[in-house]
Amino acid sequence: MAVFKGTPRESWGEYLVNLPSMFVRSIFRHNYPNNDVDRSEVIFKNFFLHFHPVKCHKHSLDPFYTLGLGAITTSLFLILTFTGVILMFYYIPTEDRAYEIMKDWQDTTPFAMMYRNMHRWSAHMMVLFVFLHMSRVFYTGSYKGTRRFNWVIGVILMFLTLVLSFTGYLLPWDQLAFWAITVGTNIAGYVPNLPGFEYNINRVMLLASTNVGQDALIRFYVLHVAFLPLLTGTLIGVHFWRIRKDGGLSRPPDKIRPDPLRVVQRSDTKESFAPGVKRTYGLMELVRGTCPTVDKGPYNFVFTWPHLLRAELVAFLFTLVLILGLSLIDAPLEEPANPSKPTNPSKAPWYFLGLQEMVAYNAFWGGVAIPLGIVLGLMAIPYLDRNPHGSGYWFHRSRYLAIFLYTLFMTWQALLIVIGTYFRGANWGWVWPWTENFARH
Amino acid sequence: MPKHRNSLNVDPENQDPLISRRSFLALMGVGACIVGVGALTGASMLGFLYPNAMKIPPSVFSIGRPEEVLAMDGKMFSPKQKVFIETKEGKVRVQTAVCTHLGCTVNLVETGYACPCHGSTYDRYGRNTGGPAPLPLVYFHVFKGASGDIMVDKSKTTLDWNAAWYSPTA
Repeated sequence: MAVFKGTPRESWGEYLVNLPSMFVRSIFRHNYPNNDVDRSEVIFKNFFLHFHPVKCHKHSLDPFYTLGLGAITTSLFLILTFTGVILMFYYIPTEDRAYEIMKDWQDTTPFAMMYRNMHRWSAHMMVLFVFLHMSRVFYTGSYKGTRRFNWVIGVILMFLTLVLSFTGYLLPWDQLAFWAITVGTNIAGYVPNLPGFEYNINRVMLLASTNVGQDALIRFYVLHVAFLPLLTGTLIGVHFWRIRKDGGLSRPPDKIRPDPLRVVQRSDTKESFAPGVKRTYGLMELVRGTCPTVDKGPYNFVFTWPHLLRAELVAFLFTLVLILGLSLIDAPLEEPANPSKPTNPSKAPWYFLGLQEMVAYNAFWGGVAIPLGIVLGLMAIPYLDRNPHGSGYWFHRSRYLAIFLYTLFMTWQALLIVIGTYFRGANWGWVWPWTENFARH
Repeated sequence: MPKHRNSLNVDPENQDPLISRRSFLALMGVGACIVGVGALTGASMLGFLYPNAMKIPPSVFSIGRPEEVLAMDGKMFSPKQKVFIETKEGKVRVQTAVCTHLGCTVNLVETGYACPCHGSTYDRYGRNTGGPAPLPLVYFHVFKGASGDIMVDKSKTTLDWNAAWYSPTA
């Protein structure tokens, strides 16, 4: 009778033959994903991929549903992180050096302008794509049901993106930077002060002084390179995690309801298990019914490797090509900061021109109350919209009022930006764009 | 029963009570620690970010010898102190150039002053006439210092454009 005596010890020859594959397996905890088991393991045993689901719904891969906007925004954040860290190797946050370094980059440091341009245009694009992504989520009703709070996190991320952009364009310490700090911190000064403080605490917390100078620059620098990116990165992680936990991207209910009693489902792959896998059982889940569907994957779900990863790669490469193309245009740099006189007109970058236009009517209402109302109002949308229908459909007909109101709001903001960009001239006076060219940013 | 479930049945009798005396007291203790640490962190950050000593430029500054100042005629912008120095018939008055709206430096225009950032307008006395500016541009107290220079004190302000005149020769 054959008795199992344990596996024989391998010889040195066998060991050396197996060494390369053993070494690779010591790094990767999965084999090459050419079968379904390893297509699963590559996702959930790999640190960098494990925030993906092993399988995702075909609908989530439809490029005309998501338009890839979230993936593009994430790609921009990654590009911004990389180029930002690169720029930190040279940048010094002092009043007398910062602008000099910006100028030096133009002709002393190879590729410095490429990285600075990429960083600047990625920031502009990230603001744009955050708003496009938010609009996609609104128009497809994807903030409903369990996804309510993820919308709130998204609004916080939108706010952080804007603050990151603001703190970022202060760092070159040109005219734009100096007067943006002046105006921005004076807006903070319209927030009511705490009792007992001689100077408005909101303003002093930003400036470390009562006037704009070196102390303010280092604060905005620390906010821009450490505090805000960490906060944003963490919240992006929570945002993704909530997508997983809330059941993936929103989608309409399946047209063919899976029926566990009749095995009618089709897996997207021919094999349910890889050949050679001996142990194919394990307690996965307790399900109701008498005949759970065995050997079949969930209806309409496909493996993340390669389908979702390929889609993400396409989105990333699209973003990279876009940003590399834009980096051929030099990022704006105005005259060095002149604390005695702003340029005329002094215009913020385009995404703040709506705010600047509102502030030009009233500092408190346009700079504090209405922006705060907008952010809180956006956060409240999932809790105000009681219509349960339309999640997963673009422009669902039952949501005509919500869609109308949101479009009205976005049109109003876009109109303010267009007015601020093209219809405002010297001393913020009204001019017609075809009579004079003054679009500065 | 919910339509879709992803967890097992839980027997309602098999649950701990939502709150007991023991867990209530424990929660209070843990809560007090968290609130205490949060309050201490917040208070220390508030103090840390609001320094006791700040680099505030002195409120009194010189604008020059009387004969130099009086040699000018009309309204001049002084970039260093961000003020307008107006001289007429041996008298001088000094007005701020910082917009009362959000702190940009205003420009001299035919009708008075105009702000390049948000379009506030003032008349030639500094009264806010349009745009978002909430307050008029103030005049500063002018006096002759011990050195004989004409000095300006930013901490003493007035809105009376006649009382703002100072005559160094008188």
